[in-house]
Amino acid sequence: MANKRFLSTDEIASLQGAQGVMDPVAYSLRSPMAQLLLISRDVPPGDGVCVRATTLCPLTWSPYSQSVNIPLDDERVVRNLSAPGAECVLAEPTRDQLRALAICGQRAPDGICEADIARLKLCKSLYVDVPSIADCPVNLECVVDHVERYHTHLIAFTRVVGGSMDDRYLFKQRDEIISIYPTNFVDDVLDSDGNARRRVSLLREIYPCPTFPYAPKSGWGNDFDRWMRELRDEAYLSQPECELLLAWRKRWDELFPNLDSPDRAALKTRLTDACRLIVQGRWAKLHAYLGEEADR
Amino acid sequence: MGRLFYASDELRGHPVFPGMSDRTLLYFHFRPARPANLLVTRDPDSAELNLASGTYGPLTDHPYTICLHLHSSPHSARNLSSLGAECVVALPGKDLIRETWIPALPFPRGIFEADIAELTLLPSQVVGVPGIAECPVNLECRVEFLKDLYGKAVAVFLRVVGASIDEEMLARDRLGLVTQYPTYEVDDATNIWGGSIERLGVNGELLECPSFPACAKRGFNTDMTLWLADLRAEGHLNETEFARLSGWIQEFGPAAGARRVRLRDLVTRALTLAAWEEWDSLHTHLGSAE
Repeated sequence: MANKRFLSTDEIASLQGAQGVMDPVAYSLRSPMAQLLLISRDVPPGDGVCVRATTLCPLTWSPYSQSVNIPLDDERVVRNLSAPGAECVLAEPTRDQLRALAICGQRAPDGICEADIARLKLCKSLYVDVPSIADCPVNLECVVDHVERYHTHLIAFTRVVGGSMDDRYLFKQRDEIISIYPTNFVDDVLDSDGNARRRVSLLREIYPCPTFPYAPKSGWGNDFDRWMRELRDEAYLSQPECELLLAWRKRWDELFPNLDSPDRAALKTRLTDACRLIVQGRWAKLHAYLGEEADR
Repeated sequence: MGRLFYASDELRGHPVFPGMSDRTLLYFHFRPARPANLLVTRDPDSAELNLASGTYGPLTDHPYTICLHLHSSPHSARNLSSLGAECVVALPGKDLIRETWIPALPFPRGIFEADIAELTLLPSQVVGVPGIAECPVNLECRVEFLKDLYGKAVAVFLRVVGASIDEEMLARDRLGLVTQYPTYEVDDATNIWGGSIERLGVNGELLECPSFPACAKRGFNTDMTLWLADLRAEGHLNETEFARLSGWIQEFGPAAGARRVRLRDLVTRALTLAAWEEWDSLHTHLGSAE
C-alpha cells in the first residue's frame, strides 16, 4: 500500500496560499471540474447581461439539473440568480477560448457585459430569456429552482429546460469532443512574474467499464435477481445454481435484521464470495463453489 | 454553421439526427464529464459498511465542502440521511476502472462491495468510516446540509474534515497527477443487448490561460477595477488614460438614455482593447474618444 499523508481539519484549512492561489496540496485534494460560462440577466433597474466563469456540480438526470456556486461577494450574480423566476445559461467554452475564459473570470462594472469584452458573440436562446454564447459549442438553458447560502457561496440549483449546440460538433465522436471541450478547472498558479494564472485540463483517455456477464445486461440500475437470471439464460449459471443464488438472496433479506445470527454471517460470506467470482468471471471456480455449498 | 435546439424532454429521449445511429452521441454532447468517486458509508441500522460509486462536485474552498447527488433508493442515501453522518469520498485513479464500476452493481443491502472488488480499507483519522487504500485521495466528510431533489434524489453537502493523499502523488507535477486521477464519467456506450457500458475518462492535457495583462494580477474572481489599477501600475495605462477610463466607469453607473449607451460603448471598447492587449488602439481610443 502506498504511503499516505494525512491532513487534519486544521491542516486542510491552512492550505490557503496567497494572491488567490491555494497551496498545491489543496488542488491535489480536488478533482478538476468542468469550467463553464454562466450567463445571467441583470435584475432591473440593471440593464445588462453578466458572464462569469464557474464550475458546476451535477445533481439529477431526470430532470436534468446541476448546481452552480457563486461567491457571495459577487453581488451582481447573486442578485441575478436570487430573483424570483431567475434564469441562466451555462455555456461550454473550448480549448481555443482560454483568453475569453480568463476575461470572464473577472467582474466588469455593473451594466457592462464580460462577453463583449471577451469578444464572445451572444445569441438568442430558445427556452429562456437569457442569451446564449454563439461561439460555444454547447449552451444549457436553465431555470433556477432554488438558491441556498452556504458558507462563502450562493449555491444555485438550476434545471435545464433546453439546450443548443453548434452543428459542426454534431457527428464528432466522444474521444475528439473531449479534446476540445469542456475545459476543466485544475488550479491557479503564480507565474514567473508573480501573477495568478489559471490552468485547465482536457480529458484524453477513455476506458469502458465491464459489461455483461460481469454486470447486468442493462448496465446498471438493474436488480440482483434479474442479473442472475440473465446469467442463467446465457448459460453462465445452470438452473440449480441460479436458484441457489436467488434463494441465498431471499434468505439474506430475511436474516438481514438479525445482526447477531451466525447464519447471517455465514450467508454474507457465501454471497460475497459468489459475487466476487462472478465479477471476476471465474466461472469454473464459481461452479465448484456453488456445488460445494449446495451439497452442504 | 448553425445551432440545433432541443427541449429538455427531447434531450432525455436521446434524440438522433438523420444519419446518426448512436443514440448516446448527441445526448452526451449536453452532459459534461463529471468526476467519479467511491463513497464509503455506514448503515445506521446494521453498522455495516457500504461502498457506492458515483459522481460529485465542488461547493466551497474555505471551508472545503463538496456535494454528492444520491438517488433516493440506494443504500448510501439512507446512510447519509442525517446531519452529521460521516462518510469518506475516495477519488479513484485510472488503474481502478473495474473496481470503480463494481460498487454500481446491484448487490443486496449489507453485502460490502469493497469485499467483492477486493479493495483494501484505509482507517480514517477523523471520522469513523474507513477510506479506500488503493485510491490516491480520500476525503473524510460529515454531512452539513441535505436537499431533496424533485422527490427522486438528494443533494448532500459535505464538509471535508480530514483527508489523505498518496505521498507519491505529492511528488508529481500537476500534469502527472491529473493524468492519474480522478477518473470521470464520460458517457455510456451501448452493448449488444441495448444496455449501457459506462465509460470513464481521465485528463490528458494541461493548458494555461493567459494571465496579466489579459486579466488582473490576482487572476479569477476579481473586479476589473483591480485589473485597471494593475494596468496603471505596470505602465500599460498612463495616469491620464487611467483617470479617463475610471471617470467613464464612474459616470456610467447612474447614467441613463443615450449617454448611458454611449458610455457603455466607450467602456466596453477600452476594456476589450486592454484584455486583448491591443495597446496602440487602446491609447488611441482613450486619447480621442471624448
